[in-house]
Amino acid sequence: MPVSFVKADSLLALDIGTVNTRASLFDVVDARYRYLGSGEAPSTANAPYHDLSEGVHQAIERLQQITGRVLLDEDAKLILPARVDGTGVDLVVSTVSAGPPLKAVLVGLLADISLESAANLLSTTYAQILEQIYLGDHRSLQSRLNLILKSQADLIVVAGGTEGGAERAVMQMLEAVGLACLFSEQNRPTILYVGNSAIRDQVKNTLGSLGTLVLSSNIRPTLENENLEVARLDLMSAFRQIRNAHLPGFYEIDQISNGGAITPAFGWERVVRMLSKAYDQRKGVMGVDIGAAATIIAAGLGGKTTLGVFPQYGLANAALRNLEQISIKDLADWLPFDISPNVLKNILLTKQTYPASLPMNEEELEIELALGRLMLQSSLRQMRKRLKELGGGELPILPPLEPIIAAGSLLTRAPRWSQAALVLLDGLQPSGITTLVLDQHHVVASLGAAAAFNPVLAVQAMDFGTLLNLASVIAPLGHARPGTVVLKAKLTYEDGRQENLEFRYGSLYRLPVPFGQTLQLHLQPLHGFDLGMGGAGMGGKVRLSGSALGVIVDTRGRPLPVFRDPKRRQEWLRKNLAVLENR
Amino acid sequence: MQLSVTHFQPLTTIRRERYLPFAGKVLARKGQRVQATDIVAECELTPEFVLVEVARGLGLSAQQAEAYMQVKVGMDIEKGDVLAGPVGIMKRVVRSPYSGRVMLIGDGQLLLRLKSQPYSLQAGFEATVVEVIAERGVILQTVGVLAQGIWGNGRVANGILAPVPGQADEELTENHLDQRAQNGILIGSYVTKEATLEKAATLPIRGLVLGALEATLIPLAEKMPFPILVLDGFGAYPMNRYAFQMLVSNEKREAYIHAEKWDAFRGTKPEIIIPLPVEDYQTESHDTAELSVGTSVRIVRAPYCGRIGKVEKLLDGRVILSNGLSVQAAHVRLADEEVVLSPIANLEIVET
Repeated sequence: MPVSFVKADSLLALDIGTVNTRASLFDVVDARYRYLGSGEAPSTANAPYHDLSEGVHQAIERLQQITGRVLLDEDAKLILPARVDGTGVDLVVSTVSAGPPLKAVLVGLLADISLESAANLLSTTYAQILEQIYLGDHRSLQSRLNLILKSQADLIVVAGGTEGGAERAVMQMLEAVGLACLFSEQNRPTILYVGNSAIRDQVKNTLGSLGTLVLSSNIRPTLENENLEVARLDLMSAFRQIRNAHLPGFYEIDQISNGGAITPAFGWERVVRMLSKAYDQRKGVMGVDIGAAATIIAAGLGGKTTLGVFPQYGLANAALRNLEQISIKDLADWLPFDISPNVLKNILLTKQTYPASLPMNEEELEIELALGRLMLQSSLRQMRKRLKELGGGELPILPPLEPIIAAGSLLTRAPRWSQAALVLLDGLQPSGITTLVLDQHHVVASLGAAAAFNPVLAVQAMDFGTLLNLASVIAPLGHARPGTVVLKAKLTYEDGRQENLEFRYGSLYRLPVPFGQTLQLHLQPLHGFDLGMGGAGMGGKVRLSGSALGVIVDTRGRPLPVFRDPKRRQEWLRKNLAVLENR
Repeated sequence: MQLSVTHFQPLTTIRRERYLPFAGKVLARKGQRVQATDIVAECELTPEFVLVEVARGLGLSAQQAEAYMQVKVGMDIEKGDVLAGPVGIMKRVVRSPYSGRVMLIGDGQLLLRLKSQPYSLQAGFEATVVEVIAERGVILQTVGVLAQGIWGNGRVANGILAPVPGQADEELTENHLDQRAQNGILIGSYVTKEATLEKAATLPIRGLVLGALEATLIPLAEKMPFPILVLDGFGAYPMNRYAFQMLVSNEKREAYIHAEKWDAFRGTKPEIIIPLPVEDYQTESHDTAELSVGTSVRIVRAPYCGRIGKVEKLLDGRVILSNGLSVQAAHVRLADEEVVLSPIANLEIVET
């Protein structure tokens, strides 16, 4: 039932992750929406609870203690809507990433066309592709049927046929899907059809009676164009149906949530879309979340967005999988000390066995921060084509971005802001001028859920202290000999003081600008370096706001330098950190 | 605060669910005494299908072939049974390549669901069936020793606990492995060398229970034909003394290793069970428990990884660790009386 938000004052946002469940409260203070606080508890999707509700209940209890607001009644039930005495809340939104990734099978016509788009679609949610079946795979009908049945998939995504294109071939591929549904006596998969729309009725006639069928729009309307917009919404709907059936407690959360429970990734995408419309249209917006269940990357430009969810790059959920996915050497390259591969593997496996555990010494903390860099880099590689479509270059050149919003306990709980900033700078390697923002209370995804029916709340809540401005970054693009001056800047402080600075290639610089102050910079790149201010060698004036670290000038180059000598590399890593800490 | 519990118990009541992967038939009765290899339930696993090209086999069109079909949908047939024909002077027939059930007929084809061996669910340890869950499985109960681990190589076996070849803090090497361990379940502190596992496989042994295992050995450990159960962690450090003493004191008893992977979602942990001849012993075993002063805990991260102690004090507010992390923490008195600081996130409760 649609709910008018105009009358609603308070919002409870639930975020149910693999490790933690958070309950956050927003309400109107001085005529604006504000973040009031969060309560946190261990998630209870896993044994022995097997019910999301228990963790939610504990998180709300904690929230009550922190905010002093009464949200639960004497029977420990959520008071919804709020009562006249001020107890309870008016609305609830929720994001859920707990539970194992969906097991999916992709069916299409061409491996590099429809299957690729289907894989891109799947990468917008928490899913694991078990099998890919396509016209040219030289498999017989029985082989396809047996593959689908053995996979015990939760979801089958059927793509193929451009608009006005192939019909018979798609129907031929559906034979195996139909038979698999017919003979899946237990746990019939949900089918999401995203192929040629001309045969939707035939698809409905063939598969409609064999299980849950979601008909969506064609994700590959032409050979050249991919369009995931509508299918992403329908995939979200299929995700909810599957979770409702298999994840105890999800249904109850879904029922009380305005707009239904969504994935955090979906929430992130909404926020990025909204901000990319609202902010400078020449620049994109990026959201990254290094979570236990997955690493999420959402990017948007002028309202056009792309989203990637990578369970294989979740810090903890993937158990042993990460050890296989990442190169131990690549990880060791981000450590400022020597460590044997054996010891490193022991530490990683321990972390993955106990995902909620915390590093107790400097070395293990550095390893987790290094893992964060690697998870970001690996996720970006998976999205390289899609980021290019948003105006990026060959990786690591990202589209121009303002801002980059980042979340994940690894970053928000990092002992020093400099550590969080370096994970983002090294993992993402942004270029031009941008701002790094931290989602310190883990609420951006929830605000994305709320934005669907109250964008005002989302915008106002983000404006007022919810997000932390970590640093402004100036990273000119270009190549030069290390030590060459590649950027000149005239700094004008609020008190009128002026300063001229030169920045040499191959270094990192920090200019502290406290919160509440601004710094005006007149920038002039040299040697054809590009700041994204109109072209190579073009400079101009920018005014940057104060932040936790101030302004970081990153002239280390893109891609970042590779050091063959481990000692030099370690020294470089230590120096980077020392610069950001003003040591 | 509720934390998960790991068990190192010399005497406890052990209740375990044994469930089929799919709905099937439960063979055991409530109250029945079962041995490890007794089949308590069975079901059919994912069926396999074969498409038989009948029309092509008969040399007819799809439409013509329909008239020569000898079987109907739903019929059970044996390998070699005639499916269609005879056709022509040569009396051409199409015979079934497999035993199974006819599921579909059409377009000159026949879809056969193959008859497969049922999946048999074994009890896994000597116990009594205390509950039957219709179509799904049973709940078994026994009284004995229980030690739970953090990693297993996916295998299950039972055997006699062999004499322990080394000391609690000494690495188990190939030099420790001789005929005394043959066909037994071996207890070792930790293993860091491939040669140890390879020698164990050649003896052979029935199973291996370790305190710790080097993570680099995991691919090899997964290939070993015997179950490997890791109790404490990854690396080179001794087995916790509770588990070591408990296992040593049960030498020569029959033990059952379920070295299945730790599945947090399902709540299954790899473990070793040693049933004891004790009647009517009732204790409560918990999957989670409240953390409080005096609770036995194990620290799961370095530098105290695998060490067991008792909570001395739960600290108020948050504490800053040496690496700068701000955490909820506790003081833990280790077995050697050393008191150490640990984040609560790094503790799991142990029932001993």
